[in-house]
Amino acid sequence: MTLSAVQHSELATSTDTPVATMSFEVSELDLFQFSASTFLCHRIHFDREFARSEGHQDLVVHGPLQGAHLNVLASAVAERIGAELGSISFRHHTSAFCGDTLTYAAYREQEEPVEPAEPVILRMTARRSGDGQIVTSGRAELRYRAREA
Amino acid sequence: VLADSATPVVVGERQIDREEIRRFSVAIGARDPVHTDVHAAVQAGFRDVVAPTAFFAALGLSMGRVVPVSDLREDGIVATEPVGARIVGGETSFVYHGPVLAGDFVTVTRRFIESYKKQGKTGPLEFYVSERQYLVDGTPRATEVYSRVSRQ
Repeated sequence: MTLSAVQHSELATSTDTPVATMSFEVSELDLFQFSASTFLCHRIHFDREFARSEGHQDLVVHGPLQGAHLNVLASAVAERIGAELGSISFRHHTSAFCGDTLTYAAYREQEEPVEPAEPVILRMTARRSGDGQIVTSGRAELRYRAREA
Repeated sequence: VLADSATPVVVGERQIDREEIRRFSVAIGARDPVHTDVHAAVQAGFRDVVAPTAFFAALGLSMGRVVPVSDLREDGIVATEPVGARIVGGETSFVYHGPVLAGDFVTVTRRFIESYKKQGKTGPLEFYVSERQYLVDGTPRATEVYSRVSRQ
């Protein structure tokens, strides 16, 4: 697996410093495993010749795989602070390809510390290597678990 | 099927097993052992292994799409789907209400919410917004809202 472990930083930092990052070096095997586990048969993800005939520079990284990685990253931050992932949203801006290294980062949206009853909001990005362009962006809400009285 | 029923229709239902949770977790790099090791899951207070949150998206994507090659187009997409160069994915959002465990029987419903037009950089765009619910014993475990964008 070429997805790195999540690297955590201090949570009480500025909104410009990521609270967690991870990277993903995309290989053919990663794309195959995701296609197989979801039964997604779109050939742009596993047939290089076909992907190029469709105008792509290489095999295309599944958008839902990037969404899944944002879930993994947000869940790791939630686990670290004793919260759980309550919601997530994301959208794709451009394609990522086999051979790219994607860097995922999660940033605190609030500058001020939040009360334990308040959700922590993360904004997240996935950038591709080379031109550093954001390929996917998202937002997650982490809710603290209800405490027993 | 960009704009179908406004009332929820069942698009699929099936029982989730440990092996598919394990395969999906490995494929996406979800390393928490509660996804792959039943003993770790039980120690964490669950009845069985827990699907990672992104598993809901995989369910939504695969239901109705497990078909023989004869029902696929040359590009590998299910022949009946209205996809192509002029239709692309928009924003996807999930609200998680509770986890899915191995052994749960999950029902997925879909309903069309709305469509609207917007001017894009290269011409008019039409947005179709739909919702999927993921239910276990009639109780939602996740709600997904997603959009498809059609270039005119």
